[in-house]
Amino acid sequence: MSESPDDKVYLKLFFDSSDEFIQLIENNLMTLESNPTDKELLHEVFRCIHTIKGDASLIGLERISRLAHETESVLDLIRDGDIQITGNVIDTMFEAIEFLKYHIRKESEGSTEEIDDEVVIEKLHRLKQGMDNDFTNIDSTDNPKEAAQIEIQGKDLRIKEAKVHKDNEYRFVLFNLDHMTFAISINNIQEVVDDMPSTKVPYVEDYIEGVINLRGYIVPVISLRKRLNFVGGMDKGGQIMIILKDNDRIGLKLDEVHSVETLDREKIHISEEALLGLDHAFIEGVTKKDDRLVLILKPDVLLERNKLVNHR
Amino acid sequence: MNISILIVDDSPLTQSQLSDIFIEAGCQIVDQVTDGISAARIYKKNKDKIDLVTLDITLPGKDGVEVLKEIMAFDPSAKVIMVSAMGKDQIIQECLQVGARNFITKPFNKDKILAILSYVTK
Repeated sequence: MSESPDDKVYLKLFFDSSDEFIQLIENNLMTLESNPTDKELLHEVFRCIHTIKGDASLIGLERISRLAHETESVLDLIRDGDIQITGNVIDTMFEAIEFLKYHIRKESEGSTEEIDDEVVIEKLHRLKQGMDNDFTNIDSTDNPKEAAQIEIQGKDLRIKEAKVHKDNEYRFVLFNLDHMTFAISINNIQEVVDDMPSTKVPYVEDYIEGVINLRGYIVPVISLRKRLNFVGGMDKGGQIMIILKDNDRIGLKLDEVHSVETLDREKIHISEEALLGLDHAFIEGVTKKDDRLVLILKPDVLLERNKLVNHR
Repeated sequence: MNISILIVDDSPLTQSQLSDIFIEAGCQIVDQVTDGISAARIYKKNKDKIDLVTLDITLPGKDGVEVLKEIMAFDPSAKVIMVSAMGKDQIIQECLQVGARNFITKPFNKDKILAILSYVTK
């Protein structure tokens, strides 16, 4: 719509309507904090942010559109039940809205000021990865899904609740591969099953073992050993961890799950020596648990869905 | 193009841009509404005067997919184009299955809209 005499009219329409949408978002977010299960409130917040996103893209305000998009995708995961509403989530939403307001004010005043919203975009990304949640609002009796229940076959490791005491403490599933201990956030894990024969798939990356049929779902299985480029050793055929990603299930072959632990995110560090030559891209960091070195994996990178799907 | 159009969108900016494009192309705007409940009601009331509906997916009250279903149930020959800022694939699929004629995603431009318009109404 460039160089049209209507541009000014369109801009004014955008500024006026987005002010109203933001007002609505703020009011609804506040109510949502005390009524986290109110679907209509949530839909209303989603609708307003979605409209701002679309409108901003129509008049070429890319930064606004991008921030609105990032915010919207977190709301989308909340709607799907993949992210629970906690104080922390609401705070991040408010923060994103503040930045949207800065952006909009800046544009309406024709200012050239540079606004750095990367911090809040990063926070939104972390929410999407299930990383920045404090679990303080989760009550296992209200919603079984919120309680992060997973069953680990053959072991009595049923997690009854995901309640933890501090904001920066998170539940992780720890498992072994050769002599090393790895951890993946429990938020990403659907269940752990005993190894089962998989069907080979032609023309896929070496680390894709094949597919298994899990109660009717066809699940690709990755050999973690091959994915991490372990030299030597063989898959012991222990267990398969089923990870939920974007509504898809992907299996991760590993030796054995040994426990579910609460780890303090503040104490997760990046350390060159501790990575022992493993690819940085897969590892979020390293921490210690009972004198054992634990490597925290990034399931997102590990699973890179495109590579899996494109070659199927 | 002598076509009468009902615009359904919760965004004043999108409404304005769409109606400007349609009017410039010689179309008539039957009405512009911002919510799903009014959209379905107005279509039912003015079915014979409406050649085409542009329907936003994310609406207050009743969302676009529900409105589409209601319109198609009432008038299986209705011509509805969905409009949205980037849709999830499955929602687009669902709309097309229910009977939407086409799909416009934002950001759109005049040429894209007019091409779809002529295609859908020919």
